[in-house]
Amino acid sequence: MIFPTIEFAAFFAVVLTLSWLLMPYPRWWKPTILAASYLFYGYADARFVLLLVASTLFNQAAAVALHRLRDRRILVVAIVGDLGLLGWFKYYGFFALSVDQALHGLGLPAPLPLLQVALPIGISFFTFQAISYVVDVHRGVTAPAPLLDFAVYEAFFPHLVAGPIVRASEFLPQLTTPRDPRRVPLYRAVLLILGGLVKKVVLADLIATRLVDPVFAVPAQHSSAEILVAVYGYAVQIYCDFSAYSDIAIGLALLLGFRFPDNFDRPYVAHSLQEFWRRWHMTLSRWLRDHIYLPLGGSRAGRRRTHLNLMITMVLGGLWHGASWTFVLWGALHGAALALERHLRARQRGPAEHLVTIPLPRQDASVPAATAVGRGVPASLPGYVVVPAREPTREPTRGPAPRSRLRTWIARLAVFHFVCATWVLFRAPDLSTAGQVFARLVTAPGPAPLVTPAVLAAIFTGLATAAVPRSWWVVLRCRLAHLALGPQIVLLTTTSMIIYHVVGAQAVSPFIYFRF
Amino acid sequence: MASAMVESQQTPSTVAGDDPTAPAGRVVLVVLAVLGLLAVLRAPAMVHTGEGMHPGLTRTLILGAARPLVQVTGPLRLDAPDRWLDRAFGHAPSATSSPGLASTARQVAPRQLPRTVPPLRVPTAADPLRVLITGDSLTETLGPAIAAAGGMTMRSQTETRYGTGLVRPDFFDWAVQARAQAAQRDLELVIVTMGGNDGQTITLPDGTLLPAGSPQWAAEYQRRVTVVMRIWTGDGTRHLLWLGLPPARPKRLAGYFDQLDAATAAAATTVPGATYLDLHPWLSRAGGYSDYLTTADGHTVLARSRDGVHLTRDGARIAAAPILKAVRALQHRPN
Repeated sequence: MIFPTIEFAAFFAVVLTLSWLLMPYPRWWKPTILAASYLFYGYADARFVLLLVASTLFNQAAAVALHRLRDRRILVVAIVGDLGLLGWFKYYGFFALSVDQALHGLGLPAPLPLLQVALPIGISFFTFQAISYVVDVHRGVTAPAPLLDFAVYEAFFPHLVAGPIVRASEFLPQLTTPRDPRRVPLYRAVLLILGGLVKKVVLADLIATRLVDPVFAVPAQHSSAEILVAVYGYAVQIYCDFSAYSDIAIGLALLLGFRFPDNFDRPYVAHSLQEFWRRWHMTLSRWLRDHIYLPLGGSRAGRRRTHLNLMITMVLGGLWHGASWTFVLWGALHGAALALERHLRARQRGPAEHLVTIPLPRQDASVPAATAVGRGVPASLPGYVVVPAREPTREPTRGPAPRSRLRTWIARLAVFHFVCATWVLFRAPDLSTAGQVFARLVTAPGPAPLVTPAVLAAIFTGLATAAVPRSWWVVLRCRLAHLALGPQIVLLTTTSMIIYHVVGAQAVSPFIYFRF
Repeated sequence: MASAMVESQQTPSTVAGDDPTAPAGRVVLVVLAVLGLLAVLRAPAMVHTGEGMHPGLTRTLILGAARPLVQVTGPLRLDAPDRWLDRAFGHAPSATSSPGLASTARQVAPRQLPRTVPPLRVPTAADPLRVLITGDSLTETLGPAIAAAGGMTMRSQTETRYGTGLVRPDFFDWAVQARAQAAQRDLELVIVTMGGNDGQTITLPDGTLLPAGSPQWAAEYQRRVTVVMRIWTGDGTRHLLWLGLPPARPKRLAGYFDQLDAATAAAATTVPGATYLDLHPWLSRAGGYSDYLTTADGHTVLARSRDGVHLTRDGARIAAAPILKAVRALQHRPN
């Protein structure tokens, strides 16, 4: 089931009503919301619900055993099991085919059967959440939750298929007490949902269908101008598409009384790549930091080891997006660029001034944090960064010297163009198509009939969303809140109708991150 | 809780800091009211969406709710804002039923058509062949693969209409679409593939049901293919290459596909300019369905998507070679 559909609207209307009616009775609320989440997940293919249930039971058993026995081997088994499941469904075909093709060149037979393994939607997201839970229990950050609570956490439908990746320590405490029915952030929620619909239905889909899809399908038939604008267009499309899903998910959760962490924070205003990764897919960034980068040693084991850790983290982050060499190269380029950026910054400052800076989310402000500090966990736990409750994670206090406005803009443009260039690898179906895109960027003069005023307007609007001050949203929320009930309903209905009429009767295409 | 909700509905919004909040009762009321109003004001669009779904419980439920709504909202003109917005944004109004293809199909009659269409022009890079690749979701990967294989001597445009076919003109009418495509473009060749969604019952304008797989169903399908073929070929003035369906993994679907292919091949023999290309020899292994296929240079590739119907990009590349060969054949012989 995907969000902007009639089926989901009907589903949500029922679930929202039931949820608030049953909220004072957790014994009823939890099974109901769990059943609703399984229905949501099994709508496309009911068989995968069994997988989700199996993952829940397996990880809960591991968490309970870890808590009782404190045996690190249980953690290893749990993580291997989770990654094995992910590997089988997501990477087996890619691996078997790569081996087959490599051996074919040597004239050897294929050692692995070539199977078509169905990819359960959202498996990357719920597997990462499950790993996060087991690791948190191992580290003592959170105690094992009751099975029903953990099942709700893993399957909660707003974040189930495409995130945000919510930590157990952020979500489980919200299950311990009923949500407050007197103070639901309705206006923040509806603006997130409507804003998400605009970004997805109006901007992302328009840019995709009218420019990006045709250009990336056959770059050889398009001029340099079309390819250049399509590269920028894809940067806007993927941001609008994915951040729209996150916004809608966060908005739906808010309507149900739950808070998720932010997932995007105007990523294209970043003036360093490190900052970009604190603003882009923030919940994945922090997962990679907590579960790969820091356990590898982070930046505590010397310069070369830090660079290697960055490379490993980003390559694995790339591979998480899909079984393809384009994603591997995309991750490797980001890892190399992050390492280079650190190296240059360290040279500018000198070794004495160099501080630990790792790509981590800029802030977790929207989530009621239940952190190590709040639970009395010792700060010396290996690999665990203690985050003060409700305090946003900041850069080290001794950051770079203030830049001039011009240098800031030059840095911002450089980062933006690096990110755009690497998005080509992310979007292209294979390396040869990516190569064609880069080659024709400079070798194909000619007209650009696909670059229409509507497409350009969508691209500029998508970029301009970064320039909207937060205060404007606050003002808008307050104004909406002060309207009477009738005008509120009329305004929201009219806005929804206009959003769908901008694009006409065409079907809403699936969110890009569904496939990850 | 119920009392809390009732009470909260009467409570005005409170503003705490920069995040104004509302009681849960009001939240539920606002959401239900907005969704309810959308259902009423957009009832015809809801019917249209329902008609586009595959047969099943969801479709039955949506149409069961939306059709009675249309009966009420239509006479009351409650769909006027929707139609007004359609006009304001330059879109045609959502149609609840469009029997063009079905009714046209019933009127197909022998015509005085030219016996042959001249061979397709041999294109050059300076003057490439103008090609439209269109149909259902099968064209999503086939279009780019054909275009890439065609190189600089082919200027193609792919127009994919997801979830469509010839059995449900009430949802999407390919006769209307084909006329629009032919009128808007200066085309030399049209490449079509569709049928992936057509394994379902045909309902004739008089309400007669033709169950999928029945001989009457196949005959009606052939008539409809003939209609759209005549439109795309401009009654024998343009070339049309209709690609047969690839073998499907689901056995039931594979059976339907065989019937659809037979009907299409038969229709192509009656329409000047139309050529049918059977892709089975290139897209099957040992005569049957296979996820993995071998390319011309001996590499094994994943050729089929997980649904067992669509082609991956590698599968589409395999298909593109015989398609290009068929196009080149049209350059040397009249049709």
